[in-house]
Amino acid sequence: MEFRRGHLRYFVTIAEEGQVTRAARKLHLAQPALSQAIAQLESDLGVALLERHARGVTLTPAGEVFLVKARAAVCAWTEAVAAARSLATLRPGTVEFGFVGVPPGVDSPGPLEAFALAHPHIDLRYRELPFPSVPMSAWLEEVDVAVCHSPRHEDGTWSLLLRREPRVVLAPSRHPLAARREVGVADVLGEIFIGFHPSVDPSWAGFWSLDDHRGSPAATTADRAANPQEVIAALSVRSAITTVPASVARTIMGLMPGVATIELCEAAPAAIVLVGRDDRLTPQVEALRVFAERGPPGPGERGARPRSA
Amino acid sequence: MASRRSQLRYLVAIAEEGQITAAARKLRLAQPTLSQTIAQLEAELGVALLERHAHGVTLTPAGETFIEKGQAALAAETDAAQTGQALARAASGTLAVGFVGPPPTASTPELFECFLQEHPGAQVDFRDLPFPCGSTAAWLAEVDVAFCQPPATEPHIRSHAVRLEPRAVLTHHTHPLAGCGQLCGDQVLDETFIGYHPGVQREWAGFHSLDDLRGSPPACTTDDHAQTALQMLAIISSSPAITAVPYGDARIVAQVLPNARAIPLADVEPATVSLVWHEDNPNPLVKALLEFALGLAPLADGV
Repeated sequence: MEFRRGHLRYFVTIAEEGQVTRAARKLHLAQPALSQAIAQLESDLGVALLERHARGVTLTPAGEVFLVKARAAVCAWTEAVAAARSLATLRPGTVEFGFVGVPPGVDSPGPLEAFALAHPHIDLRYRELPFPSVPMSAWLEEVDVAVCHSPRHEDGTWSLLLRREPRVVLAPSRHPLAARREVGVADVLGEIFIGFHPSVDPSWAGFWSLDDHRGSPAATTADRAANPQEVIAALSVRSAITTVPASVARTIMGLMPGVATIELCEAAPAAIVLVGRDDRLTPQVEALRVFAERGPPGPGERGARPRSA
Repeated sequence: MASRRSQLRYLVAIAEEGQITAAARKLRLAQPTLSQTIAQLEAELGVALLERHAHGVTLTPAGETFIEKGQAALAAETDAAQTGQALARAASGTLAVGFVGPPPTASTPELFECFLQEHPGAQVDFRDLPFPCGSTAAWLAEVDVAFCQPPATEPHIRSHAVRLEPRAVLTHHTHPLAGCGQLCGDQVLDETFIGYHPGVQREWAGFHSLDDLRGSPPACTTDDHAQTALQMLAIISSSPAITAVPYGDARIVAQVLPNARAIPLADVEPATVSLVWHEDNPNPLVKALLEFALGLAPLADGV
């Protein structure tokens, strides 16, 4: 036999409420309609499930036995619907994920692993990008989203701040600064900086040459570095410096014995930002954005957060 | 509105076919009806279950999950229906006994005679069952116990061996083996056996095809899709294929069908005829019947 739609849920609700009237209210049904449905269920099965009293209903012994199974079936349906709904926004798809220099999983694998776990149907494909150029929309042509340090704002693109990081000086190990553990901004503004390729966004390149602190362009080498490898290569043959975000410095420190990293005091931090084109804002990218915005559950979200008066 | 069972069946068919048109053909439904049913389900859940492409459809992750969890929910619903019906039978003092092939009153008359003497008010309803397809629990949905060789083992399904019986092959009287008084397993393994419906439990079809002796399904089977014992008999009496059954059943068949022959298999493991029931069955008459069954010593030879 097959149960009619809703009948099992009606029976379980009545059993839990102990009253047809209350159950009807909870189910948003008219009381006579509910009574009729239960009578129909009893007749379909051929067994009495409820005993009617003046003050409500109780289960017959058969009703008690049936309740266990009916409840299991109702719970199983509720779970099936809830599970389907929880996946509603997660259609399968690909996100082309651009990065500059150090792959995003290297310095902070945690959030990406958490994202993969939460969205197993979204396939993240990583794409290495050169330094940002103008316009941004052209630089982002091949990807849906990119993680980047302090990109410029441009109409038709969106950005989301992930975190801020201090800037760190990179210098060849034979450079006079290389022996220092830390330097102040004023100490390095007069240094010669690695030159970037003209295609690189000038304001972006200037940021790494500390133009924002100097207020004018730095003296640069004749290099035309268009990506991080070219910067590293230039560093090894010049007596010049550049700056990078702290996470990049940490990675370079482990890999490049010829390059020294020196903490830079008093410099404005670099913003690590997720950027993308408005016309590539697919549901998958949206899911990534929502995830990045919310971040992994921190300790404050798990327990009660102390509230100030 | 379509039942959840139909909605789920439609969704599975669409996923299998990858096309609504092809699925509608398979389900023998009009394509708009099928599209509408799925659209209604999606609206009801507030979730897209299908992703529409230029050349067909695929399930969304939500659709995949809904099928998986929905099938578990349907099984729970079947379980509830089964319990409800067993409760109804208990209330009216009825025991529903399923069987496949010759009725158990023919093969084990003493069991039911004793039972009815002890429980004069009880009503025993015998139900002819098809071969088990899918889960054993679902197969038992309409009965309290079934009398048969054991179907696939499954959680919550219990069985008790009532008797051990030699096995025999059934053939048409014109079959080259028909004249033999007795056969060995090796002599029949390479014969053409009856083909079973692909949904029939593998263990069940295997029992009739002597897969346990061969270690694999037969190399040759007919194109038939047997799903019931009567269909099996119809095939035997009209084709050169053979099948293996408990000897007691074979003997009854040979008496009823003049063109069928029952030939005992000399050197094969006997068949176990069992009572099979769901452990949650609330009908007290199940326990009462089992008490009598426990009293019957399994017989090793009945030839």
